[in-house]
Amino acid sequence: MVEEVQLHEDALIEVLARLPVKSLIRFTCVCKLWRSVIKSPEFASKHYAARLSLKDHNEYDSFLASFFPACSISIFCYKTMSFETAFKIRPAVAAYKPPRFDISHRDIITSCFIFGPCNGLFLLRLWKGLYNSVIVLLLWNPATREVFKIPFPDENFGYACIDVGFGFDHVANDYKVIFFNGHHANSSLVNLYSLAANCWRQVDAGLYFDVRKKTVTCKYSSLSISSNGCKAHFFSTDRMNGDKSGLASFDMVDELFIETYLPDGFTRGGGLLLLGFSSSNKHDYPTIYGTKYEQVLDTFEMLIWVLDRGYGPKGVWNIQQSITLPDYVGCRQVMLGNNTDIVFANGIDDVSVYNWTTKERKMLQIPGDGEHVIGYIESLISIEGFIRQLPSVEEDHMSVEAEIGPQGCQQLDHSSVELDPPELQSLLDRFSAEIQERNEEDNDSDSSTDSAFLMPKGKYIGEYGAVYIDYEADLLFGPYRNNECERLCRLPYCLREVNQPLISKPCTF
Amino acid sequence: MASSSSSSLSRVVVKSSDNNLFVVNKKVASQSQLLKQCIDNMEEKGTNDVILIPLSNVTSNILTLVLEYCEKHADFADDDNNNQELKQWDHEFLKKFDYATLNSLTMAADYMVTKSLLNLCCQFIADSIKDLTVQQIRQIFDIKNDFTPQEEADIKNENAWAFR
Repeated sequence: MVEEVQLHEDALIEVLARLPVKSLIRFTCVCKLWRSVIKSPEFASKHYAARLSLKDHNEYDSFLASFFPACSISIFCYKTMSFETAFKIRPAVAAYKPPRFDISHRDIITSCFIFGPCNGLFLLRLWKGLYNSVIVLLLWNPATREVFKIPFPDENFGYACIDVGFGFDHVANDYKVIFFNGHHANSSLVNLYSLAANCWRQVDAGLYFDVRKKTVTCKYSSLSISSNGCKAHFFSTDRMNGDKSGLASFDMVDELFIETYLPDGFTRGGGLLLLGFSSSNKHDYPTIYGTKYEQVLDTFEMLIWVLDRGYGPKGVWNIQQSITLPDYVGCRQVMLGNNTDIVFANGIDDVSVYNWTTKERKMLQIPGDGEHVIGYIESLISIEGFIRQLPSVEEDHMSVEAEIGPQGCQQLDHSSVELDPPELQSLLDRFSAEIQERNEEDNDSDSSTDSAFLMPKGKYIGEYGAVYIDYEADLLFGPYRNNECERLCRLPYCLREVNQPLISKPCTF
Repeated sequence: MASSSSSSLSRVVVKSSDNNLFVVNKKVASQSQLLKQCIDNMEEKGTNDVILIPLSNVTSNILTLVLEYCEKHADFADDDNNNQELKQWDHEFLKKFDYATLNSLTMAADYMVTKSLLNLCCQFIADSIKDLTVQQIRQIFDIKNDFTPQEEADIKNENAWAFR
């Protein structure tokens, strides 16, 4: 008797929905039927829903950790606690003049802030450039490596805006980004980007910001991992009300803010506040993690509060858990991991996993400062698949390189004649070895995984990632350094996987 | 398992596509929503006769396996404590089969609406194929490559990282 081997389409979809994203992307070239199934948006939703349903409370596939001075983001597999892959922000041109005068690419992308995840997608906010910083907003799906640069209406658009958040409008089937100045603007207008329309518009969000009365910051905002993550959350401080802290949640569907006061323990000096979500919470209400220092016992306590009964005045915060932490968890970033784990970055040199029942700590041996640690569940969702208005064709970035690459070098060669040649030469020699060493890390062909996390050696790193200044050299090199920075800033950058060649059409910014 | 009333059925007879008959205890049959629906319909009508349910899509080989699974799960239905043991059994149960049998079992589970078996099979197949190459997948599922070499190369280049 001959058994039927091929799966029917229904059964095939059921099997495929249980595969990891990487396997699915590989299997797009099995045959046309498999490709059409895997590429369909309906399948992406089904796949994400299946992955969510397989998870228990607060369980993640992976988590990412960012290392700001190196402008890199690494992803760890939660199951094995092992390093999976790393991404870095580097020039998108394969052959170009490497940085000189003690500058590195890492000085050019001066900040990288990560928001999300929402259905497996993240929003990245970058500051690019040293003297005339430009904001860049990117949508990113780390599982599929898709990066999409959100276009700005004009080049000055980014300056006036500070706080940013994003979420999914499940009614319009659209991802939206809210971008506003919560510190200074005396207005309730916010800028709202719709991915489907691929454009910005101004919206009256119903919350009036006034620096003297109410400010909103997104410092620790993060989003839902569930499929209806339709709110972007910000912490607000109400000065009129005795610095009462609140949670300002912007609803992506009705495009309005709703404010919920935070639990009393956290109004002032309540320690670290973080936002999170639990996947088991069907209402998709946020969870707050707060750390509190117990003076008497000399311990840190982490309290986990879950919002109940809705947003706004009717909302009630319930303590879900209280965990005593050892003092070394006085950390910058915490994430509630799977089961009884806490993943935290101490803000200096390590990301660790702490199990609060066994009280064991496992260090992940990743150098870097760990600006963020965020758990997520991978998804196949395509960002560009949501755009109904296709973006206009961007200018060819290779021509930019051809124009500025050689020119920049010529300028340096010319002007070196005007200075004292021996002195300049000796300084150049002194730095060339160091610079070479550092640039080798950035070299595309042979960059090792670890080098993506290394900080430039032996140099002071300013709080805002400023250039590492050697004053003696600076006197001589000042003008050249400026030129060099300008040259590097004008290079197209991209977010790409470490150890992988540049893809043919990288998303550049 | 005692019947709750004299009018309810205790057994059904299931017929495979190759005309073999299987006598199935009601509790076992209830693991399949399809069979359960048939039984419920007959009970509503008040029939006391043993009913015959023909399954035109399932061969006797596969039906034997589905019933083996249903029997095991019916035994454990009232016992929440042995979840781990049941999981272990599930795994051992599926481990014996080749892909052809697994695929047939998946489709039988789908047809007979045995949700837990369907989930189990799909997850088992997914787990065992996730690290395979495209070529291996084509062999296992007997799939003809309908891309031109150029198309296939383009897809591979586009996502080179996934082929490592």
